[in-house]
Amino acid sequence: MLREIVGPENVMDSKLDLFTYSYDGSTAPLLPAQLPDVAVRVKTVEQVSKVLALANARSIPVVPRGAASNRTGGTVPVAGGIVLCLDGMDQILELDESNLMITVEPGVRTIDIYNYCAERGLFFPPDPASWKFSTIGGNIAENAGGARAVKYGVTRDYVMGLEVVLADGSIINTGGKAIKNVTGYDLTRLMVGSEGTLGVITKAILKLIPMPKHRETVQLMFGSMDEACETVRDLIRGGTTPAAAEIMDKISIQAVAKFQRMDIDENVEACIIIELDGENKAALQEQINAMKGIAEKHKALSFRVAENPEEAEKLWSIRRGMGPAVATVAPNKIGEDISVPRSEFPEIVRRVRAIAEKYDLVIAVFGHAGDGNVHPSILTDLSLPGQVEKVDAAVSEIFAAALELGGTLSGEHGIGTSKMAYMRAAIGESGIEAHHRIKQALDPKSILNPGKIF
Amino acid sequence: MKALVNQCDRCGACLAACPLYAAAGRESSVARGKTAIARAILENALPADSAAKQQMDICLLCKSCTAACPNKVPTDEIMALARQRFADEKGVSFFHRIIGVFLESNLMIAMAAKAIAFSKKVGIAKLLPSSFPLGCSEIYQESVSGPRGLSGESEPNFQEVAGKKVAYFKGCAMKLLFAERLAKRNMTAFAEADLIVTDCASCGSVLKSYGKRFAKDDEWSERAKVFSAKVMGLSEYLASAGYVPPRKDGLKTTYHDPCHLVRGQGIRQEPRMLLRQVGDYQELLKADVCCGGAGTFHIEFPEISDQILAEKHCNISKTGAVIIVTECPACLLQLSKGLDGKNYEVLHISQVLE
Repeated sequence: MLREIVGPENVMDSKLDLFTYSYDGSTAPLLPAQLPDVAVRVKTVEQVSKVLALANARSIPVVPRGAASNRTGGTVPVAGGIVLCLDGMDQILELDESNLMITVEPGVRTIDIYNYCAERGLFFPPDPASWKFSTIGGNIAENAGGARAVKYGVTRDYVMGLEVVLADGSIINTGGKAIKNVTGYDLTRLMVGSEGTLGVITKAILKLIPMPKHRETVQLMFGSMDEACETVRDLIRGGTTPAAAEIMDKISIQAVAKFQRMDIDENVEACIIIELDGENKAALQEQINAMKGIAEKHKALSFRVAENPEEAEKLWSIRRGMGPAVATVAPNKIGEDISVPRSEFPEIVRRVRAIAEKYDLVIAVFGHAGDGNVHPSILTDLSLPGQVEKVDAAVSEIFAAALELGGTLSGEHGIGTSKMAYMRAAIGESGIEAHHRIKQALDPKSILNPGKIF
Repeated sequence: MKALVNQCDRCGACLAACPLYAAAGRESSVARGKTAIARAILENALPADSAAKQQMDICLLCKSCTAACPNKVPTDEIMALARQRFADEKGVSFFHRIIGVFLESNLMIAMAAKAIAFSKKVGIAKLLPSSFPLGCSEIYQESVSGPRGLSGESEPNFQEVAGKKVAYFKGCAMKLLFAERLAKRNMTAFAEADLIVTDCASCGSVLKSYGKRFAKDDEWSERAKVFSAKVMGLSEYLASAGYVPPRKDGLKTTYHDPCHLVRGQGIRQEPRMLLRQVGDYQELLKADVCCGGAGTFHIEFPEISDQILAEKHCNISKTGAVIIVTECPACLLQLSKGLDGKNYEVLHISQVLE
């Protein structure tokens, strides 16, 4: 049946194929593998619809998959069934320059949307760290964030409308190009961040803005985390919202310094990279001057403004080099993704430090200071006896700390399977019940990505 | 090998970089899938059968994944190790045995060199049998090595290095990276040379790696290190020697980066700089994406290789260039396929710089 729908060459069921569609970018163990029964490549919404109708009739689980780059197990076929590969639906369908909107298929890589728009003077801001390889369908399903969230928001803020195939194979269109639209429930927002559990996204209308004409990059070093965070706070309160404000703690900084053979003062406890953008160069200069004043007030150890794009790239390299650098410190890196109100940033860092000490773990902390999204990265060797348990306990305490400070379990990675156990604590019994009812209404047989979120 | 495969955290960065994945759209053919398979085999979760072996063979070894990888997982090394393991356990296939014999025989190498030398003069590989065996192995003698400068005359900057022994060797195929005898023979033969220039990207890449490969060999480590330090790619050498190629006004060229030059040796600017001096140079879209030739890959997996090549030709056509230049015989042979109806020819950089 599947072969008739998508053609035999797009049905993959060899042992190796099944194994290679069993994992994603999460730390869910590779082995023993959680194998699907088949992986299917689709090209059109009609094929998606037929596959879902068939699966629904026979109660077969379906796991939608783009690049499987997500970090929380969202594309692991925990209940077997069909892995639905959407990365072949990779066409940019329309650029509507009068309404500043672009219509794309789900398999288009996010950076390709950015580049396509940038060439035409337009800007698609969401930039999750994976944007060079993750697909827009996945970004929408996970409501991905990125460094620019502080000023420009997250993926959700740019989704105007969707074409979605529901569990029974019916096709709906949500939202549209109208800015004002109160026709019924906001199903677009319901689908954004639903992690493939409510429907399969087959098309998206995305909002664009004009590309800012100027960009400045500033790198600041501080002797304390508090002063670094207060600088960002004062900056935003003073009317300057940076396009990005990335922060790193000492462990992260020293790891990069070692990796890139740079010399960074031992007294540096925090580093911030700030990007400003705008229409007017003079106005940006004024903002930089104001920032300098604020930074001095908070005893910044250094304040460097990039003179040209090459230097900007150099200043950014300390942040971009983070992933590989911290990875060299230990064999395993368990990267977490919590979010707290911006004001609690120094406090969450202090608590993570205390947790690291308690469990005798190395935890590097970096993240988006502008929006309170923190990525504590536990650097360890999971093959050592007892280490897995220790890490699990530490992660639980980190989540608890985030919730206590009024934060969330996940800023931009989603829940998937990795954070399911903490959902009740985060949204309460009634919250879980509401989720169940929505799921029941749209997917009564629970075929869509079962075993995820709640 | 276990330590290498464990470095992959399955983020998926290689999916956007792998030419094979772009053509095949199958997870088992991209680096993430391959390292996962290798790991499963090592942990006895998958059998080391012929299907698994084929997945290890179906890799261009182009290093695009490593360049894009945040952890810099060396998939090409993992594949080479896996192939070696399969060879140790299951024996070497007839096809690869033939190449092995071919490579180790000086007479065969000399014949191949002559054939390639001839082909260079008369419009290249159109005259060659399109596949086995010449497509995968050749050696260049000094007489066909490239610009006059190399043999010792003209340009002042050349004087310092000219007259020194310049030799060319191409040992085919990454599969034979482990043929130690060949490596040792090279080191002995070129011990007197002060500089070893090669106009073959794969050669250069392999020769430059001797130092690393023999690092733990007490007897050979020092010699290997010295040997590798002497090796230079042709355009790398010409650019550093200040060679000024004769101007051919209006000649519109574009350039394809051989994997083993751009990622294998980090040589990106030198050939472009030289070509800009020759004529009207146009940058090629996705210039550093593998052409699909990849040693013997195009013989073993012709369909997928042709698919990758078709995109390359499509991008070349868009530049409007009349010559697509490259610096690797394997790329040269690959690019020379599918030229029917195209308005450009394929030349080795040495032919354009003369």
